[in-house]
Amino acid sequence: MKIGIIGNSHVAALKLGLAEAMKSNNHVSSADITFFAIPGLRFGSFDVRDGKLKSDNRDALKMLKRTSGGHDHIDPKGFDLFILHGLELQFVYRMVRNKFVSAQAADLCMPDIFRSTLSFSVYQKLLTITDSPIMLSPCPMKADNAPHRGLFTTPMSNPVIDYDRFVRALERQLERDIDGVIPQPAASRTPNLTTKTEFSEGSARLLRPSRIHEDDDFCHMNSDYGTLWWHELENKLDDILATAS
Amino acid sequence: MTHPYTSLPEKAFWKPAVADQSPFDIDELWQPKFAVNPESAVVTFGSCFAQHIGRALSARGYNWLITEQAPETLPADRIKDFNYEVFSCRTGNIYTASLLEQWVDWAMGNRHIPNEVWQQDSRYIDPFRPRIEPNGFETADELMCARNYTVRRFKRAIKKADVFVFTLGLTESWFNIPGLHRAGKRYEYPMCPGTIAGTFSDEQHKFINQPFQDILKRLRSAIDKMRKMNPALKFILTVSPVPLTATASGNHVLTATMESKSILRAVAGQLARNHDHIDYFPSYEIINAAPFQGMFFETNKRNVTAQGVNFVMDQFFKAQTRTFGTPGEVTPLEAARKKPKEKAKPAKTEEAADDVVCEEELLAAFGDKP
Repeated sequence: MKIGIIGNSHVAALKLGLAEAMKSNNHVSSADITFFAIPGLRFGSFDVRDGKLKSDNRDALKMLKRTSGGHDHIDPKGFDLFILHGLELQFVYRMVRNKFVSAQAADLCMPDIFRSTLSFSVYQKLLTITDSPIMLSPCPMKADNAPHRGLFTTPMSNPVIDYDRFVRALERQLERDIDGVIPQPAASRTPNLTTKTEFSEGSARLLRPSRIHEDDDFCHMNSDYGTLWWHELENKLDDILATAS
Repeated sequence: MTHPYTSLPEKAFWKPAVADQSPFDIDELWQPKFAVNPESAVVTFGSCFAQHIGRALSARGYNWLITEQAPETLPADRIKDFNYEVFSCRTGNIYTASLLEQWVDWAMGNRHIPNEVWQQDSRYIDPFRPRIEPNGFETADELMCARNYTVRRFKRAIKKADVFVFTLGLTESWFNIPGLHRAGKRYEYPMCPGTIAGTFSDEQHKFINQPFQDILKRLRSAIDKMRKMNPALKFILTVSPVPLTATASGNHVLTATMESKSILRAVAGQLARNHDHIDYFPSYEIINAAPFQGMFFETNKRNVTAQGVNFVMDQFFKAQTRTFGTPGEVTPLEAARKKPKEKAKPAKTEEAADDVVCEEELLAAFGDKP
């Protein structure tokens, strides 16, 4: 199975967790995985041309080559599955922090929020050039020890709006039955709609020692998180392969 | 020979001020006590008719302060369904003076917020705002969170406003009575239990058609309490011209309506006469007085037409301009340029900023070379 993982900086954790994950996940270990990762929002510069995703942005192309092993565009031919990871798609903190929003209202609000993300923009473009399944994988939630409590980790004002509701709302926005959502692994989440601190700590060691993130990065995760994420994908692949067969 | 009437202005005499005028030319019905400027933060609460006042203020570029905003991406055609932008926060209709005082007491922490909820099928209805959420809430917990949040936003409205507009609607009210219902003190519902939702109980629920003195006391008390939170707060009272839908008084609904509105009008008048910080705006008279011949009512003789609402609000702004020289109206373009104080900002998402800051991490994970 050939899998293309398209995403931004959050892909780093997946890349670093892959080796460990391959030891215990059959589908993942046998898959041919290509990463197409570009930091930030530069994937917005990609358009569909000649049935491929291409960009004229030099920075974006440079980074794509670096992360994909030399590709300067994304050609969907031959890929059995695409996964869009990160790319602004995240739990709807902004909608529900510091104010009450009812579950009914939230269900009406979430589609517009999703559709304004880079993830959905890329999803829409991919839909026009591939018949293979596309799975959306949200950014991990902020680490539980994030200091920006007013921004990211304000206790949610509505007990009904939880992660599962977010995922269900996301699934309803998918345009084909073959597409799906890879939720953040349950084992990495806290009841506060954050990520357990242990999955954020240590991510700094991924960098060159002289350029560590110090302690101020609470949105990117470490290789342990990546490994957990591959387990989640393994379960999804069971379903996908069962459907395909 | 002179007497006090010789020096009175024309508006004091029925014939020149009313009988000889087209209804649309009857003017100077209101002499405002204080200015309401486009910059003044005005909050609106009360009976149904108060909804028109907020919208009219907003349409003319005035600062209608909304302290409970709709979520940014809620579709525009659903905002009203969830009772956003109906009043300054999602209190629902506050029909009586005592109900207003109840909300004020909740906001100040003077009175326990009852934990009563009404279950209807698998949904939960708020007895104090039975139509606030289409089809009700998913769980009782969600309902209580919503109610508590609105109480906090109501408090904010009191503290942040310059002018508090309250439209009195009813004298008839329904209470949960402690003598009959053992737990807790008595509290008031905006609607009779069992009508929209809930279950009516003869033992628990009591009808009270509040007399003049009680309403005066409750309204004065509510205003005094709000002034404790915000000493500069001014009040404009109005009486809803909308007749009762039904009466439990035993009287004919028409006579019950006239009695009820007359009492409310008298209460508002008395408070306005006695306090500089309280004014009365005669929307009730403009719609209901005989010279207007009921022309502002729809065919059900109850709902007020858009034309009637516009006429009333024109009188409001004209009187303000006449008295204070403030701009009574701004152009639609100017109105569009003005930003309501508490509108949520369409901020760019934080996650984008995070990604930009952390992009080196990705590159590090993949090493320096392709």
